[in-house]
Amino acid sequence: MSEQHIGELAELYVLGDLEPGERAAVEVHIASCMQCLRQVGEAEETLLALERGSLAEPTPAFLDRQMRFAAPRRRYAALALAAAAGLVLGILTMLPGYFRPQAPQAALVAMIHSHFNHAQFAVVGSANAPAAKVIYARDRSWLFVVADGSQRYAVYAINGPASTRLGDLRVQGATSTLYVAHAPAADAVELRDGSTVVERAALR
Amino acid sequence: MRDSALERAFAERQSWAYEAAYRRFGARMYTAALRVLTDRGAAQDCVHEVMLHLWKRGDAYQPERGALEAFLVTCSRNRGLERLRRSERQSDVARRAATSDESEELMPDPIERERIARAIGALPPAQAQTIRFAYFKGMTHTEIASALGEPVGTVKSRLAAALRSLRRTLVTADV
Repeated sequence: MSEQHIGELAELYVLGDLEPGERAAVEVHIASCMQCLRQVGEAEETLLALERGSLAEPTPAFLDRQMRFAAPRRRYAALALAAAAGLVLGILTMLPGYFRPQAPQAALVAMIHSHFNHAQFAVVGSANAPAAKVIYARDRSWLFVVADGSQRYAVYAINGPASTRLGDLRVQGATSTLYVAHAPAADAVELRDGSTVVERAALR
Repeated sequence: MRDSALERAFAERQSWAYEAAYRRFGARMYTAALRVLTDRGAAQDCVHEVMLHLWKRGDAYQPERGALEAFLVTCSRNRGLERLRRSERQSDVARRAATSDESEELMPDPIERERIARAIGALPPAQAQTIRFAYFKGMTHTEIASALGEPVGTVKSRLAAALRSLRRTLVTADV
């Protein structure tokens, strides 16, 4: 560390790569140096960008346990959560055979924390296609596709002439779903079986 | 997008902000810990430890530092690394270096995954290899230097340079 600033120790600190003594020295320094504090923050944001490559689903008990964390404000938080959950349940229960305990937690958490729209898929051509919906954040930061049945269709985002493959539906009991965080800009979503477009939903 | 009200309240140690931060960022914190620990129960414990530690400490975060989510995810990952390093032997490090990059528990985001792969692929090869060891395998600069037969100082500089380059392509380019 130079006398003035922490230099490359900022990145090593964020990567968890310093000995306890060095780590403590960095923490003392950034407590009083705004420039180095920001450098550490920037490295943390880069680490977060790397983390966005995947997401794991914690168990429902994981979130419930922490609800007891802030006991003094729990009543208010519980009411707000109940209202949000009610809204989500209202929409989800309109989907045939969808809502069940093993529904992807990441999608539910995203729905609770943002405003969203939904659109019905329309069958393209004469395909014998299942009922399906796409639920998506109004700011298009995520989308969630759910279809009745266990077909593993590929899901594509359509933006004008461009199409981007988002992934494949995954079987969740009697339905198939796909949750996509950081969904790309799109004016429609398609379900495809190989190269054949089976269903299409227009996004508002 | 950053939530400045939440970040201010978190910095002021308001209990509702801790609860909201946990609910909003808990899954991402869990993912970061799971990537390192590869055990669901240990990863969940790790996140709870981090939140309780921060609550007790009360002054670890300031909004001027950067995004609260980034701070929490980094805390979670590093707590996971501490647990891992406490429990494993040197032979485990070599095994970790030889394993695949991702746990099967993690659901890939194909768009982000491709973006990250492209950004790392655009780094000079030595930097790319170093950041893969450090980030995906959780190896220290000393372990990386030993694995590559490179001087420790060189590896440290490469790590810092790689992370700064990735910021330009993955973070700054988003703004």
